[in-house]
Amino acid sequence: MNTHLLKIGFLTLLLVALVATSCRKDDDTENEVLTTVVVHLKSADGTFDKRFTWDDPDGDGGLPPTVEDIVLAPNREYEAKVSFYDRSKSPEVDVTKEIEAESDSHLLVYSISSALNLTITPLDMDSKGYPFRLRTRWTTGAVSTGSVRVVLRHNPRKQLPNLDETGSVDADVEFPVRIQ
Amino acid sequence: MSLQAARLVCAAWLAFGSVLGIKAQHCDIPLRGMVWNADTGEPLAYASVHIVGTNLGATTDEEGTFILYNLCEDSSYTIAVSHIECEHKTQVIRLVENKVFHFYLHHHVLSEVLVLERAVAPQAAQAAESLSGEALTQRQALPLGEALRQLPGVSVLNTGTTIAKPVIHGLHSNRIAIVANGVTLEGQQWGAEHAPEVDPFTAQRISVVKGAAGVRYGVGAIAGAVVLEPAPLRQRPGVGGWLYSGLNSNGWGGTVAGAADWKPQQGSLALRLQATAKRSGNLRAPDYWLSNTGLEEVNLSALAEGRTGLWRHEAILSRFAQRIGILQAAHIGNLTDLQRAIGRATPLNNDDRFTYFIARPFQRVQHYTARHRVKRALSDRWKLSAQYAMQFNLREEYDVVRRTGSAADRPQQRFRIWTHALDAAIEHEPIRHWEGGMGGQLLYQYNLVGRGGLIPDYQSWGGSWWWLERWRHFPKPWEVEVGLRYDYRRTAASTTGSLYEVDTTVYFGGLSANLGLVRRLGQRVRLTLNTGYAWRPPHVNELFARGVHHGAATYEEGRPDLQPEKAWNSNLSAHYEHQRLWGALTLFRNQVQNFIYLDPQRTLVLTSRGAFPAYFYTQANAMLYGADASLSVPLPVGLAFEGRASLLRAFRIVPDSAEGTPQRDWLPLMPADRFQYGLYWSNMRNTKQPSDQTPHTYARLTGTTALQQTRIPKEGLLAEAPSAFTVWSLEVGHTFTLRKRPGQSLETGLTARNLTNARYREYLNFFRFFVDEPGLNVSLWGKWHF
Repeated sequence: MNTHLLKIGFLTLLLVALVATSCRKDDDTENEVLTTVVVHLKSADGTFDKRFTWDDPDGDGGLPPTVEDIVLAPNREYEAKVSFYDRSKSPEVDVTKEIEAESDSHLLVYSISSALNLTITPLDMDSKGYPFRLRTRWTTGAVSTGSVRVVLRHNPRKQLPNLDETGSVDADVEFPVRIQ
Repeated sequence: MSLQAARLVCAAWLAFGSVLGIKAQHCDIPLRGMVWNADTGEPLAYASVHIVGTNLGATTDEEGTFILYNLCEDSSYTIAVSHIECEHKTQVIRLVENKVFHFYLHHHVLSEVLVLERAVAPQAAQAAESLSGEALTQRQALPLGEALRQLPGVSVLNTGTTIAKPVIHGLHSNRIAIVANGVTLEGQQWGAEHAPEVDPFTAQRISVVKGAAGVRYGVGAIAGAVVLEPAPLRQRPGVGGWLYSGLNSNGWGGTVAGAADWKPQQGSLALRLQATAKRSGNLRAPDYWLSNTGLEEVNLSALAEGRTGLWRHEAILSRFAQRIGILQAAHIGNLTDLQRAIGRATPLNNDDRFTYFIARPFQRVQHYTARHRVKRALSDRWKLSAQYAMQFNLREEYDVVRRTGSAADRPQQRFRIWTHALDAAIEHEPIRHWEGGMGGQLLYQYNLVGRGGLIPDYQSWGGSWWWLERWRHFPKPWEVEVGLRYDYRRTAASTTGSLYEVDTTVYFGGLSANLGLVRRLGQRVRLTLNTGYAWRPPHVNELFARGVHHGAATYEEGRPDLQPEKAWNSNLSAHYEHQRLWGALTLFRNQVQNFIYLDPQRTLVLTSRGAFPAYFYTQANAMLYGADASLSVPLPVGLAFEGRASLLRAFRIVPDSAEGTPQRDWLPLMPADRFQYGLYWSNMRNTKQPSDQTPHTYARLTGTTALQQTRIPKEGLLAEAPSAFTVWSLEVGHTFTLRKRPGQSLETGLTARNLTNARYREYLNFFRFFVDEPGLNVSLWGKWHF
């Protein structure tokens, strides 16, 4: 009789412990998918104002992404701003504002293929004065073709000399570019 | 197989059993026994044993054992035991085959002689290794995979040091079964970075079965099984238990574990509460800290045993909870970063300092088990048992994410799986020297994956039926084991809220069979041959996975039309044992039809995080063969030389369409040949393995040399293997009894791993691209038995 009580008490205690520890708020997982990258290029005089889109609405795998060619005129200057969207959600999420708000934990890196006569110079800095490069100036040279790769990194170590290699990659897309 | 056929087989089996049962009087059974001094607990030599009313008798040998041949099974005998120094005693026993009768005599005190009968454990027909006693205590604070690393034929698939999966003869994950406390672990075992949710502190003995274990341990175990057995609960009223405490220098980690057993004066109830807590910070490689490699773990379990009427009950509740940091240098966003990270002298993105804090990326894992088993005797020969087990597994993976704020504490992947399993079995004592049983299992699984997960949600229903029999007749040198099993699985998979749609149901069914032979040659040599046929249905991830595998920087895609793997696994073992000289050799061959693996494609998949090499699940015939060996040779002054070797060759057959001749290609991630050698010293020269609580001192120095794996696939990112290495380890232990507290003992030990602080990388560690293995680790521990 005594042992029965003990047994019941013991088992109840354990069940309570199990239930108490396993009850957790059942919120969903958080998966941001950057499906879309837009490069917005404007000339200083306002005669050129175009958006070029890299778009993969079905996420990794499946259908290949659609990429628009960036076509620019030779020997001109453009102001560029890159925007990032998550179009796997509805409505789509514009992630750019968050990136701008947390500029010191983000960094954009541009790689230009060697055949392309293009230079990219930053027009902005993060809140601590380190590189950010969301806004840039694109200066074209002679007629040529190639590509520009845009990489968004986060938590980079901006004080290091090899800052472009640090942190982890959020987005890494390549646009074909023609200067003609 | 239809239900009707199963019923027919069942009925035929029972009829067969009862026919044999009626003709039970076989007078060719030996009585095996031991005589003990009840006061000192030592075996009594030269005690005389005779059967009253006959002229049959024997004298015990040096080890207190005796054998009387050709007695009648199921008959009662009055046994008289006497010794010069002890009381003369008589006792009535009922003879049952394959039992040993223990007689306890008192020194000239008029008290009852106590007889206990214990079953003689059948010798394993399959190649097997086990870890118990001091060897287990030395490794109990390690993750399960790491604890088993030293066993021949066993290697470890690592994702860092804290995530370790056991590998048996080159195969792992869903191809082996992990059985803890009689429950087959059902977690997310498909993932290479998903470690088994099992605490080695709950076990008194961990056995590794090498070879097809499908008949005994269920569908999928085509390569073997890891079986954890808890210590038996208290038989005598009172309180007992143990308390363990250990410290590690590498990672400044600590482990506290304990178990308390209690059996009240009255009633049949016995209880155990067990708990383990671990905490460890960043580990250190010889040249740098490994950032974010901390670990937190808290495990609890409770066991209860008791009797109500004819039924014996056994209940277990357990909880396993872990938080494991993943090396930050290994968090790779894309292929460019991977190529940049590989082969650097110092890792990229490595915060070179010590901390206990676990940042992203990390895993949070919980596993709950509740099990109730009932047993009862149906007759002298037949026993019935049934078991219900419920398991819940939660796995959350927290990646490095761009976002901060409210979304920052949410995981990127969440897997939840509920498993309900109902088992029933009917077992019998020897009938014409055959003992065994038949049983069945019903299983239901519900797996829920968070939005945007790597695999779809799924539900599985399964049923199985098995029959296992073993023939042995002491002292005949042969033993035979036969087993048959049928399994059926139905899995319905569907996606919720994902970018790609799956809504499919797949069915698989098949037979497993096993045949084992044991042949003893005299007292010293034992040969075993085991051949088994087992199968494994393709797992949901192999069928439907789709996504980027971050750690490996690959894009992986499943194939919905995969067929089950079918394995024909044979092994031949030879054991030699004579006093302190012993050795074992196992040769194995595992032929797998439709072996499922990730095949590198020649294309890159373009994603918003860059291009990834594509790997598609595919299948081909594969062959794995090799040998395991272990040896212990006594040397003077209590020393012994110990050696172990594990060799494996594994390839698949590539159907070559052009020439029509199939070609071979090595399978990826197969363990390289490994050799262990060293010296063992103990002050207990005559006891092969002293129990935990016998006062003794020992030391073991072991060197491990792993060769470079040169047998690697021609294509793929995993094309290069790290070079060969040698590491040394030292284990020292001393056990003493506490004079002021009789019956209590204290085990103490000092373990040093990677004694020379060597820089090396393991081929089976996913982090080999980025960092060295941890350097010197000195652990100091004590275990108090009370």
